[in-house]
Amino acid sequence: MIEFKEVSKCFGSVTALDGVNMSFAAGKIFGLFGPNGAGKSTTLKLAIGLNRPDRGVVLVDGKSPLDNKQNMAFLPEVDHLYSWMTLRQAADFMRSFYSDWDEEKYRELLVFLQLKEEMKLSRISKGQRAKCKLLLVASRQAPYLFLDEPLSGIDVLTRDEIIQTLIRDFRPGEQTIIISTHEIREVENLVDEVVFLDNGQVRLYGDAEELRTQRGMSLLDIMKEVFRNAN
Amino acid sequence: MPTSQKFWALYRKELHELRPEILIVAGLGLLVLILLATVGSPARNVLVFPWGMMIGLAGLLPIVSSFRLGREWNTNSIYLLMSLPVKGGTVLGAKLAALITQYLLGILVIGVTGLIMAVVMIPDLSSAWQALSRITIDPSLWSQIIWGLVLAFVFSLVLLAYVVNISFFSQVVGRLVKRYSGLLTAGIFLFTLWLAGKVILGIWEGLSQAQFIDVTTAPLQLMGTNTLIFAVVAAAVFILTVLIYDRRTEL
Repeated sequence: MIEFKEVSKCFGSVTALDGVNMSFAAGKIFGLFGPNGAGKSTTLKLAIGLNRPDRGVVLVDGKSPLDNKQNMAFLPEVDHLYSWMTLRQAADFMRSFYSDWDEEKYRELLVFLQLKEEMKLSRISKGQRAKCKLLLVASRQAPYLFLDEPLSGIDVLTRDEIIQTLIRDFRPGEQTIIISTHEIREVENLVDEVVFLDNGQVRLYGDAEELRTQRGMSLLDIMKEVFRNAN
Repeated sequence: MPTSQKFWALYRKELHELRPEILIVAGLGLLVLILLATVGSPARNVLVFPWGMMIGLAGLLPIVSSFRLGREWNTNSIYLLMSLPVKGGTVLGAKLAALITQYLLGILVIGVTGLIMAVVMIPDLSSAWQALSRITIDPSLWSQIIWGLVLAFVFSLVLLAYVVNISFFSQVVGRLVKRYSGLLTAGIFLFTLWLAGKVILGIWEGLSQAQFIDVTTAPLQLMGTNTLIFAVVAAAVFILTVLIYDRRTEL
């Protein structure tokens, strides 16, 4: 379980998170929704230990995220892989750090995502790079998977492949996935629970299906309504 | 996963990134050898200059390369590096080890090139060596010469680690701020270099006053002490850098 207790984070004069309390129960897929600058990426970076809270505490299974890196897989929005590497070199590199690397899954996903190990990361399209990034995190049996805008700037077909990969490999009850995105429509049917963030605060959170039934509208419409009322 | 395996993966990655600089020295060495084989006897003597340049390059390039640490931020690979289950000691240790390897490979190229040049340029090398061996030298002097060379080599390694660690320190501290981090890095590098120099001088003075060091003592002992002092300061800067990387660095 991931817990945020009274977490605040500022970058200069900008407040990214403001006294946030939330928890992500184990074994579910969470959607972290909100407009640009809502605090979604900061939430993920705090959960994986790439940022430290100014106030409050973030706990992953009762420990600091820094002591839990072995159990976390992170796909940032930016291209973070070494561009001179081929996909094979990148996989070799990742394999050296994680005992939960699943070679069989890696081989299956290579075929499923139509990627080749010889591909040089600097010479492939943005969509292929996104798939490579996903391949490298999804080839692990990590209990926690954090995806920061995995669909941003990706064509429709590649988006579908990415979503299918997530559905295909998700282990309910075992794995926790947190997807931060403002492309709600694409992941509407993927998420179990949702957190709507705006201006560094949680506007709404709960079970995705319950929210849809209660309000009789899609998650995208719920978000629009929530943010319209908040502003 | 054992730390050694993680270190090895990082070290290999670093060496791969240093390949162009390593190839520059190796390429220059090869060029010198090609010229050695093709040009005539009087012109060959000029080749001593590019060979001397190689010595400077082998020493300077690792220091220049050490400033590549900042590229991890510029290329966003810092996201990958910081999310890996490794501490700063492993990350920076692998970088330092790769830079030392780069230096050692440069020295190897210089040594091999120099040896081949000596064989080609000194036609009567064997008789010169025989003449040299006929000179009676006190065995203790030989041992001092050999120890002096070994110490000079060790000192060069320690000096490299000292400058590289200060470079790492300045870059890690410089990245603690978002704006003007390049300017701050340059300022911190120069200031730390100056401060570390003052610390070393202070240690020397302290040791002299406490009569641990006698300036009239054997030069080898002075050289050894100097190497040790530089190594201690380099290690202190490294530890400080690792602490800042582990506890203060964020994205």
